[in-house]
Formats: sequence, C-alpha cells, structure tokens
Amino acid sequence: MRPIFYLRQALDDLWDNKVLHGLAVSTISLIFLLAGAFALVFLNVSQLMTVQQDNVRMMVYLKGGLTAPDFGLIQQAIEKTNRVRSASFVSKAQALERLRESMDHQAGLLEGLSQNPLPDAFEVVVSPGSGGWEGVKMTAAKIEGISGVDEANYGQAWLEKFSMVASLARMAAMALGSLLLVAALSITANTIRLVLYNRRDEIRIMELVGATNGFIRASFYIQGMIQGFLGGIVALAILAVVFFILVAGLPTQELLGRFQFHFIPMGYCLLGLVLSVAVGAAGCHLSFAQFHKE
Amino acid sequence: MDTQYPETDNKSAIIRLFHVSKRFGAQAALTDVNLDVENNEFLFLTGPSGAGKSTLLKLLYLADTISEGQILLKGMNLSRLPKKRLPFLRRDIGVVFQDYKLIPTRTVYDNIALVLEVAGANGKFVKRKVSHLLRTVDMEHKAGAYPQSLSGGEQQRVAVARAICGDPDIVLADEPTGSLDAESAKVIMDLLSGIHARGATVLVATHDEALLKNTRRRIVTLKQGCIVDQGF
Repeated sequence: MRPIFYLRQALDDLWDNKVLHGLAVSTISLIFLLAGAFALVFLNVSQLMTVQQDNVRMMVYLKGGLTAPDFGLIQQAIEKTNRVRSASFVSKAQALERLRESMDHQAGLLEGLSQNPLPDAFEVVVSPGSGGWEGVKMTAAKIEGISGVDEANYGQAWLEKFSMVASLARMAAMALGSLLLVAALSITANTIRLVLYNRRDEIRIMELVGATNGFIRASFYIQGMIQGFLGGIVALAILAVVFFILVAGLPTQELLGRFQFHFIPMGYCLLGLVLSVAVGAAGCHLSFAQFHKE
Repeated sequence: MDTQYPETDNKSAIIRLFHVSKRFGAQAALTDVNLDVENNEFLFLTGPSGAGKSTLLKLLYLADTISEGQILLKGMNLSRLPKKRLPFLRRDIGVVFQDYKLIPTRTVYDNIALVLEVAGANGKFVKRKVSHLLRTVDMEHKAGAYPQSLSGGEQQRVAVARAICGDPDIVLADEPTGSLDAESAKVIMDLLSGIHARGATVLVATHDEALLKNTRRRIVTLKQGCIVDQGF
C-alpha cells in the first residue's frame, strides 16, 4: 500500500474534474446542512424539554372548608410524595393578591367581587429526574389522592401536546435524515460513476498493464471520501456561522428564561464528519459495482 | 501448408496454443489454432487483414477469452487462471498496441511509469528506469509532453518503452510499424530486437511485407482464422 501515491493520484483526479466534484461537494454539503439543521433543532428542543422537566412547578388546589391543621397535614403528605422537592402554602388571599398584581391595569375588575373565588393551594416543585413526564404525571396522581386535595395542575394538556410534537419531530428527523443520507450516497455514486465512464479507456489500459483492482480503486475511494469530507465540513461551517449569528440576535432570555441554545456537540460533529466520509466511500463502492456490471 | 500440432511435452515453449478457437457470435475469428512459441523466440504473425492476428494477440494478453481449446502461458493454463492472478500475469507481458493506447491525460513520462507504479516499484527506481527508457527510445526531450502532441512514430516509441518497461518475459506487438515511415519502423524494430536480445520472447503481428522480406525469424501465416503456413 502506498497511501501518498494514491492520495496524490486522487488529488490530481479531483483537480482534473474540479467542476464535477465541486458540484457534488456543494450538493452533499447542502444535504448535510439540512440534516445538521434538523439535528440542531431537535437537540435544542430535547434540551428545552429536559430543562423544563428539571424544574416542574405544580399548583395543588385544595377543597374548600379546610382548617389550618388540615393544611399542615396535607403539606406533610405532599412533601413525603416521591419526586417532590418543596411545597409552599399559598392561601386564597395570597392567590388573589398575586392575581391582582399580574392583572396590572385590569386589577379593577376584581374590585367588585363579593368573596374570593380562588381556592387555597400549594405550590409544589417537582424534580422528576429520569422519570420524565411520566414521573410528573405519577406524582400529580399521588398528590390528587391525598385527602383534601382537589386538583394538581402542571399544564398537562400543553405539555402532553408538546411531548407528542417532539416525538413526531424526532421520528420525522430520523426519516428525513435517512432519506438525505441516501440522497448523498446517490450523488457521490453518480459523480464517481461519471468520472469512471470518463476514464474507462484509461482504466482498461491500467488493467492491461497489470493494475490490480485495488490499485485502480484506491484513488477513486480516496476521491469519494475527500468529497464526502469536504461536503460535511462545509455544511458544518455554514451551520455554525448561521447558528451563532441567529443566536446572538435572538432575545433568548426574554423568550425562554434560563434556557440557552446549544450548537451540535463536538462528538456529534465528528460523527457527522465520519458519516460523510463513509457516505463518500460507500458511494464509490456502489459506482464501481455498477461500472463492473455494465 | 504446414499446420503442425504442438508437442505435448515441449518444456522450452513459453506460449502454447492447443486447438484454440475464438468466435464472435456466429463469426469465427480463429479456428483450431495450434502453436508453440519457444522461450526467447522472435516470431512474426502475418496474414491479410481479418486473418485473426490481433485476435490471437488479444487472447495472449488476456484481453479476451477463448471459445475452445487451451492456451498455456509460462506453463499456466489461461482458462483456469484465477481472476486475482490476472494482473500479475499481465505484468509479465509487454504489449505494443496497434492504436498505441497511451493515456491522453498523462505525460509521456507518466505513461511509461504507469507499468512500474502498478507493480508497486518505489519512486527512485521508477525515475531511474523511466529516464533510461526515455533515452533508449530517444524521447527524453518529450518526457513532459502529452500523447496528442506527438507524431505517430513518437507515440509508437513511447508505447514500446512502456511495453518493455517492466522487463517482461513476453512482448506482443500488434502492427507496431503499421502507420510509420520506413525510418520510424526501423527504430521500432531495433527496439524490439533489443528486448529480444535481452532474453524476452517477442511476437510481432504484421502485414508489412518489408519487415518480413529479409528476416531469418519464424513466420506464422494466418488466413481466415487458421494457420496456413509457418517456417523460417
């Protein structure tokens, strides 16, 4: 094996067919850019869900007619419940006050009330840990079973929809990723095939002077891998530039609180590059198989 | 007419053809050809166009397969040769093609060097050997030129240099002087005689009467795919 010789051959060939290979690299980079953008959105949505789960705030509304000792007993029962980090009592008067503050200019609407319609409640912080949303759901069910508790609310309907959309997005991303991968594979295979047809006389001459299959194929495989690698690296570079420009311009703090957008982790970036190189090699393999068949 | 069958125990023959036939569809290109070529022999294959000379050479450099019969090359039965061994056997055969078959995107130097590169020779050896060959065929000044910028005679000299570059045991030349003037033809034949003198077996397919007129080499005549005559 003479890697430097084959590499030189491959680079010469890439240069000789620079327009063709340039087009292939552009298309591959576009495909990996799309796949990368999906991965980026998917990773950030997943991370956003995790952040939410880390700190789920649940409002536990109590039934009417309870007394102060009842509140104490209920608080103890809530605090003993699995995954509950803290429980603080919010009296109906405090709740009304909070509502008034939150209504700001419309607070006058509350003036006409003859009695406080809000129930006493506990503000509960739940840490579901690895249990995820299922854990939160179980905790809420247990709390609702405590005597004197009317309802435990943590925005289930919204969160369940959000989870469902996230799962669908995950499946769509996987399906799309597979399709894009096949497209990248086909583009590399077709480019190498065009080069092969362009050079079929040369390949025939090489065979006649005693070149082995390995000798003939080596430089083409390297070309395919370089093509894949360049496509991957260009996609990653464009994705990084666009991502950091967008994130710098977004009011993240106002929109999502303490959540911060993250770029694709280094490990995944490297995995993407390895995948792009593998796509290049596999494309080359396919084109040789087709070339020999014809 | 003298169509001898090869002796079955001829150990000095480097090429042996037993009842070889080649057909392209219904068209017979070679019919029941029997021939022994001795080691270090210089042999002419002649006959009119379409007699089967090029087909015979193609079978010998494994560009095509026989329809019937057997070919032994250096004792190896080509019909039973594993595919993996093919490139290695081809390295023992230098071929001068009728249409030169030089790679247009490679320089003269690179075209000749290819034979050594495929065999895995190291860079220094390749440089030394190719430079020597370029001097031998008087093409040193055109080392960096591309084939399309060369005359027919120059391309043929490069083709001969490439054929003998790997010091093959067998050299096959298909009409090596076909499109050349007398002077260029003499240069090519001198080069082939040179490689023969160094121990190679040389087979030249030609219908050039001038080449055959005063030769003392064996001449095998083909007609319509059959050997119709052979002798000195």
